[in-house]
Amino acid sequence: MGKTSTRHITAISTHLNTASTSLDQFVRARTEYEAHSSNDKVSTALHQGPEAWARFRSTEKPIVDRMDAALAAAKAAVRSAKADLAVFDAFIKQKKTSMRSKILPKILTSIGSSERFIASAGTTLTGLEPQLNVKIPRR
Amino acid sequence: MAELTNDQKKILKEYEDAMKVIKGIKVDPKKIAELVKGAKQLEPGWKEDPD
Repeated sequence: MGKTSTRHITAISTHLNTASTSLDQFVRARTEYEAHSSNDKVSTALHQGPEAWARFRSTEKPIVDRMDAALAAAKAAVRSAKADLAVFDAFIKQKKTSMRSKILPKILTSIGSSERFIASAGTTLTGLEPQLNVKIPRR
Repeated sequence: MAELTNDQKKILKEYEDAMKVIKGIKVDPKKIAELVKGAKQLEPGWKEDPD
């Protein structure tokens, strides 16, 4: 049980790590975007004429690209984590019914911890998924 | 400052709408970080049990 479960948990952990890093990157890029493309700054750039507007757009593009890329990476990682969670969940349920699991309190404790982890991760990822499906508008 | 043309006003409105969508994405990286930590904590327990 140990090796298989460790493999599952490591895979889930890797996807969650990627999701965490990507979400951090998205939040940072979004903060930059909010500062760069505030209503006042868009208005000012429009008032200043075509050259200022072109400059504004050229400095905005890399920020939007980073937001898009981070969101796409987070979305993919969340989907992979959810898929691995489902596989691990099925594995845990199958182990729980085996004789060996019933007679080993330690294994039962581990199964309990894993089930709580799966429930918590499943809820968080499911709540997050619709947010990540939002497409960033491009003009 | 001169008033914006209708086309420019339209652009400004599109920016406002886009900002609403972008701000509307509610993500909490801390929650995911907690899950990463939770997964790490599970690993040693499982390793102690043989397959």
